[in-house]
Amino acid sequence: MSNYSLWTLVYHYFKESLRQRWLIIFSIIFFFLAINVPTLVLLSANYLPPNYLPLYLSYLVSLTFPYLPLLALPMGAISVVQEKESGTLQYILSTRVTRHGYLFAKLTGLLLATTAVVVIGYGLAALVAYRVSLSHYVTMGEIILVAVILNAIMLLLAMTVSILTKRRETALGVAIAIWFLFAVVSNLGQLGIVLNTTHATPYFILFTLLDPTESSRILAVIGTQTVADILLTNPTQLGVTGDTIVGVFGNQSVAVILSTLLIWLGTLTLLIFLLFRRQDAT
Amino acid sequence: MADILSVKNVDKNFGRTRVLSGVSFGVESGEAVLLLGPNGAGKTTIIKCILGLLNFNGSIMVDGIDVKSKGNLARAEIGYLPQLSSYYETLTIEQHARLMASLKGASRDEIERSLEIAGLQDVRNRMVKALSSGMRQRLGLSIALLGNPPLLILDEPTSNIDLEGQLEFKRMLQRLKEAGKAFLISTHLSGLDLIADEVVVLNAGKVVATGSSSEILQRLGLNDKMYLKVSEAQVSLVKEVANGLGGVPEFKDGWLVLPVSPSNKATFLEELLKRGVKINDLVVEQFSIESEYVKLLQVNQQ
Repeated sequence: MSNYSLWTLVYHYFKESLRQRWLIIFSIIFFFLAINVPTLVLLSANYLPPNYLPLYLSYLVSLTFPYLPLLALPMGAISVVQEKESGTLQYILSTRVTRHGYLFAKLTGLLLATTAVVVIGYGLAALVAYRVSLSHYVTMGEIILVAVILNAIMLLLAMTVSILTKRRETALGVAIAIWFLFAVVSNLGQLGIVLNTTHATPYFILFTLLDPTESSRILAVIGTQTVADILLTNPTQLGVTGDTIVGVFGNQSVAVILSTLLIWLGTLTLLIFLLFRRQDAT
Repeated sequence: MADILSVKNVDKNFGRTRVLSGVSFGVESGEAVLLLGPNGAGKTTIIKCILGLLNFNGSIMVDGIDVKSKGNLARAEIGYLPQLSSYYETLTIEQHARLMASLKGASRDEIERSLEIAGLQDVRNRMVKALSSGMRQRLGLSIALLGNPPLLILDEPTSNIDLEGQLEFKRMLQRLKEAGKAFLISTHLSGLDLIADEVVVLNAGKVVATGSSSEILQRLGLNDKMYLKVSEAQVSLVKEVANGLGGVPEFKDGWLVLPVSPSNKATFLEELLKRGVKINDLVVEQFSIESEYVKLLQVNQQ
């Protein structure tokens, strides 16, 4: 398979992703969520104190991150199974396209489309918000980077579901269940550990790190200020989970969480390519 | 002639169910092979194995290239028309052809040529979702032709199109066959037996017969029937000629009915004319392998 064929397929899937209704709906909702209209209106009219900005950013992260997976999960979940059902997968794979080539193109196309939404959503927020202070662009860049990593993890997780299922409805159901698991059940689990387990901290940390939504939220909040500043000004921004991780790992927290997220990325990438290679494409 | 496709001892299981068992056959360059069998016989499954879409045990070589180890190279030698022509519905005919051409390494000229062969050049800007079944099939064929592959694999190519479309499709295939393309055509009733050089009959995942359609029909004792009207005085002469060619004629509703093998029909008529028989009327009833292979399956089961 030539490079030209591969990039043609990437471009094709990028365009297909951009045409998906869910991406358009999510983009609109996320745009309003990310720019957090009332706050920004007050901010740009100077009705909020200048030092409100870091706090605003950390709230923005905590508000939007749990919803970010809702972009990649449904789109990734139907990505392969939809093509299995319609027969286009067999059609594409009946040419010189290899399975790895197909999966790479599909993943890259989806990743580019969903990343564009994340970057534009937060980027617009940054443009509006940082009329106040240009120095915070770097911070916003860090938040976007973490959001992009979270989006990629969710996309890979959803594509794993898509490869393993035979029906689009099943894949979508599992994807929503995964979001529910990370956004709601995980928090309840953490609460349960704290309330019911003696020497809960190690389990609590493990449980938090296994939840990419929560751990990336903590990472992004830390990105808005230094750990010391957060602990000094408003430790509640981190939440109980973030507070525990920062309490144990201190300044190493960023490295620990980032490593965990990268392990998620690496493992899932390897998994989808292995699964798809071994599977009947039908 | 060298085999463009060689299938040897292919087994395939879906879970615990064996769907292909020791399937072997070949397609020579320029040859048309018809894969016949009822629904569920394993026709589409063997095609998917040839395309490397399914894992299997056994060996499949396309133009000497192993499908298992070099699947993408093997597939470059194949043009595939799937049973249900599945396309990206939001693209136009031309956009679709361009996408597939880039995946198959075909040039812009080839896109034009294949659209022309399929008669789609005037509707190239029409959306795929707005196409009729016949046009979808023609689009499928034009895409299969991209890259000029020596082997075309057509899975139930006429199942979704009307009679006129079927006739047009057959003419198209005939022209491609004359141009030297090899075919593997899976079907259970398509009228495509007329262009087939070889027939492979599959049932319950096993090859139950191979050979030309006339050979298989003869094996079943199914000869064509010639209905003749001759003067009473010449009946005995006709019987004599028929007996000489191994046929036993009978009278039915004023017609002399003669079972003859497809290869003997011309010889028989030549002999009658040579002996001065005046034929007043003539009807030939032909058996088709597509309609009669079911008898083969019954014989096989017994």
